[in-house]
Amino acid sequence: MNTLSKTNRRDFIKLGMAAGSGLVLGFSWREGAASSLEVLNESALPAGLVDFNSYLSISTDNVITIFSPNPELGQNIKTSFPMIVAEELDADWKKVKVVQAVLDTKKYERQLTGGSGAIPHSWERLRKAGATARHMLLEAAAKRWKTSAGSLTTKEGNVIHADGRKLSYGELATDAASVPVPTEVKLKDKKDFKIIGQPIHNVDNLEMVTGQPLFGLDFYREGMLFAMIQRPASCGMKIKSVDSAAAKAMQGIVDVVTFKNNVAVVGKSTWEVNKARKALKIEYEKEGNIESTTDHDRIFKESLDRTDATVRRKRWRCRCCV
Amino acid sequence: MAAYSINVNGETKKVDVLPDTPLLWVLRDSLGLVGTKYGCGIAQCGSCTVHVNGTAARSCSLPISAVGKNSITTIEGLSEKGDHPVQLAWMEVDVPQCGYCQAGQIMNAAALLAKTPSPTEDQIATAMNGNICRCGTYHRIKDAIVIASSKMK
Repeated sequence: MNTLSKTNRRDFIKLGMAAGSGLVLGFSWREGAASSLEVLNESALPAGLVDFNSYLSISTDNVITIFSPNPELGQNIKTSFPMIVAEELDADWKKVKVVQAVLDTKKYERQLTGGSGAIPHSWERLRKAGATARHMLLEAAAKRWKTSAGSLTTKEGNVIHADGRKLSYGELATDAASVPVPTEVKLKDKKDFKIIGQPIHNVDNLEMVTGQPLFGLDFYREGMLFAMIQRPASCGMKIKSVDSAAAKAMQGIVDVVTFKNNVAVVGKSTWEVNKARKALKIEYEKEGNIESTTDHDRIFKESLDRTDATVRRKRWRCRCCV
Repeated sequence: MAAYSINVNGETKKVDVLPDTPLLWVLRDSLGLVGTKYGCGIAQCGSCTVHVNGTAARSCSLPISAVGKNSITTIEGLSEKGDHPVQLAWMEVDVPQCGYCQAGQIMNAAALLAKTPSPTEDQIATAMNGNICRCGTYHRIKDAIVIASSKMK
């Protein structure tokens, strides 16, 4: 999985252009900034002139990339986002790839999975990004063929001339970057959808069925250490004392660190760390009330039995779904 | 620490680990075979399933000292190109959602079909019973096993 480790603007643009020059369109995932798209290139770098946190790029070798903030957790967002872009772009959807953004709560408003919100939130901006790029590719082809864009059509990653000639998006991408970005683009009528609404296989299938690294737990680096945290058994318990002598003396252990109300064992392998964690001698003392399931049952029952209840929320949907 | 020589996916691998280290962590931490997943660590969920001499086994609860000369197969070694009939069937019906438990599911299904090439639905349910999927992909797991079974004939 590709991730962006540093998110400064220069790196961000370079990432979009990794496969050559081509066309890189910046757009924003922020609310209220959905319609602004612009061509990104290194000369447009002076800080503050551009306001974007995502991009759609078309490389000269026909690879289309979208930079997505949404984490994949089995909801198939890595498959559905490319489908949306490919639809408006008339691309071969298999050539559309997602580059996953790292967690950055300052840059993205809604970088989460839950509430079925990703598609409603991103649907229009992804379609506009795709439609905008298509418009620019059509203009570039029209210029090359000295004809009008209106006489040309697009299909599966190619612009097609009325006489049957074809130019691939990759061949046109660099020219398209000098076409003025349209402020308004027409989106497809839903009846013309060819990709959206079709059953499409998950793009990560092969990686999942062959055991390739896709998960947080699969992140390994040369020389990295492992840590496990021992937490109190319940809320309301506070560390009184920590005796880590035995744990520290164990095979493979590098250090034992107490922070806040937790004790972390750091070492060279998962198993060594796990064994040493069990050798910690931690004394806890009670701090405030320790709530048990029995307490919760009692609190809920008392609340339900009250006759002076106040309605806190009348809407049927929770705030995250709005 | 102790030195062990184990047979994984047809290759001999040398590792130097504590004798009680579960095979799971040898595969993951020492050998970089991260397809085999940690789920519960107590042989209750099946996400760490590998083959030991072709039979499904829970690698989280199999100490390296007990592996001996037995031959281990992990999800990475099930096929050359991800084209074992079980893997192909898995992709055909889009079994995985998040995918985390699926290596264990596939290894268990492959072991079932190696022993019972044409399982009944009951036999599938019984054999796959111990592999938990939090996404709830069970109906597709069953469908995929039926497809794989029909293609292995």
